Amino acid sequence: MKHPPPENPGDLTGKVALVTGGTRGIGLEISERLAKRGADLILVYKKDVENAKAAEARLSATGRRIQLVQADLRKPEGVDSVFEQVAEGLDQIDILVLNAAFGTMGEVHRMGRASWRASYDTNVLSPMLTAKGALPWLKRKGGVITATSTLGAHTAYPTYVAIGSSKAAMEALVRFMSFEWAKYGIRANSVAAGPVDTRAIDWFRYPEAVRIFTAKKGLAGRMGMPHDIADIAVWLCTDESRWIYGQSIIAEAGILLGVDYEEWTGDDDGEGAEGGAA
Amino acid sequence: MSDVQCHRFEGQVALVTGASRGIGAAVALRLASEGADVAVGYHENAEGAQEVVAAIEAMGRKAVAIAADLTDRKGAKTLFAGFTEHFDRLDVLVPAAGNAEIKPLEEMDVDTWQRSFAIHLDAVLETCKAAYPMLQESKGRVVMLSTVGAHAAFTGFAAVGAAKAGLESLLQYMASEWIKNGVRCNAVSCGTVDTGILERWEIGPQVRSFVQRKTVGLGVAKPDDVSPIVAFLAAEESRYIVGFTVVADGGMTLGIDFEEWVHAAYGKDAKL
Repeated sequence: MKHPPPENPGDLTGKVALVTGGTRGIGLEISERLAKRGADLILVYKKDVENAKAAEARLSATGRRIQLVQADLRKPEGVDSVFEQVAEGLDQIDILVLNAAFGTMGEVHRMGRASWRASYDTNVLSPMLTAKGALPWLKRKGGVITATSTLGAHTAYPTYVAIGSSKAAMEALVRFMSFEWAKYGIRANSVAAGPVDTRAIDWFRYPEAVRIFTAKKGLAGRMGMPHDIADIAVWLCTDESRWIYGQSIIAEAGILLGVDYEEWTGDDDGEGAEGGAA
Repeated sequence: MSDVQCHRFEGQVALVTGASRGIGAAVALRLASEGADVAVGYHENAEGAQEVVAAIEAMGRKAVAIAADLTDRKGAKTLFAGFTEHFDRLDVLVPAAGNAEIKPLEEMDVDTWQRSFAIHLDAVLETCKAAYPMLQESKGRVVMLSTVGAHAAFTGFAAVGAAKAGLESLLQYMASEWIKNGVRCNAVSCGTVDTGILERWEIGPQVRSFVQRKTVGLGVAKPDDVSPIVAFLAAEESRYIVGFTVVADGGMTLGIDFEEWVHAAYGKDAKL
């Protein structure tokens, strides 16, 4: 038969990946998987030097080259400084992972202008500027952009409007980048994650409710972990996903897939609670 | 050297329908190359099915061709009678059997319409239902194949597009109901793929040149541009994706470049 399957599918040897927010949570899991597939890493972190050094030490075990870059991506000059440091360092970017995120929790009627702005600066403006800054390198041999997003961009959670709506904007940005930059051999996609067990869950007013719901509804009877999302994000960075352009892959273990009336009536016997379920 | 996982289906059994050619064949080979034994479902193309079986056996895996007409009400039963004769477990089901007849709606006849729904929707439901007990046992996965024609209207493609839209909805129900027992269902929605079907369509050459433009030169997909996505959705890596349809069309339906459209329709010298 024609087209024998590749010997080493998903191999990233010889590539360099820049990961924003790459030293903790989902970003760190992504970084580790990229390195295990053979990619060298440029890890952008905001200010926690100690944590960044610890991540570097952990990832060095893979034998890949690692460049740490400290920058505040919320400020345009912070984004500029990233690429100055890249030029002086590994001077190569084949894979860009837009993962750094920020958000203020709160309902619409409580949302302040500064909080709103801060979410959009980190989640939309910064990815746009970062991708633009990486473009000269990505264009060299063609490249991949993968962004991490949230299920909150497709549905609504309590107090989540600043993050959910800004991530929806980011996913649209990703679609436009894919549309405009396909001519340079660049692909861009997002993975929109359901609730994942990172420190961000504690931003919710009732973190336990999120944990109980997600574990109960989720596939494995457990909450999503950073590695669940990282596996998908990294796959999107490989040639295995070469035909996927401008998409948001929703990864939520089916928690929002269906409506089970019995659950909502607290009635496991299926006899219908008072008032009756449809 | 990287430590890439390329034996994700070691010890597993896959059943792929429509596996005698096109995407189904590519998927069967890909799963086998990563360690799966494969049942190769086919309808009329026995020669193609045997070729796929031989290629899989050459990889050192077990493969059996099983004939069934899935548009027939008893087709899925026949398929599984054949399957259980040779295999005692099922981990991955890819109902890839399909066909595409081009016909504008004003000329649409009931038979063409029903043929499309029979193979793209009814047959998938029946095949999945027949597979469910075994899939439940193995915490198996189903990967369906759809088309971007389910989300957008392509000339003459209504019978397929509407049936596949139905399939994508069926997917949501199936995924939601079956995930409770550990069976994970997803789909890949493809753009135009080189499966030999374009040669049978009168508008084939137009489709080809449209796709060439809209994918910025990538052109029509090879079956092996799609098979890695099916493999991904069948593998542990995608464990957190449930009931989702991955669109894989090389960017074909991503947006519309107005200038390009005018130039394509009215020539390079069209005044803008």
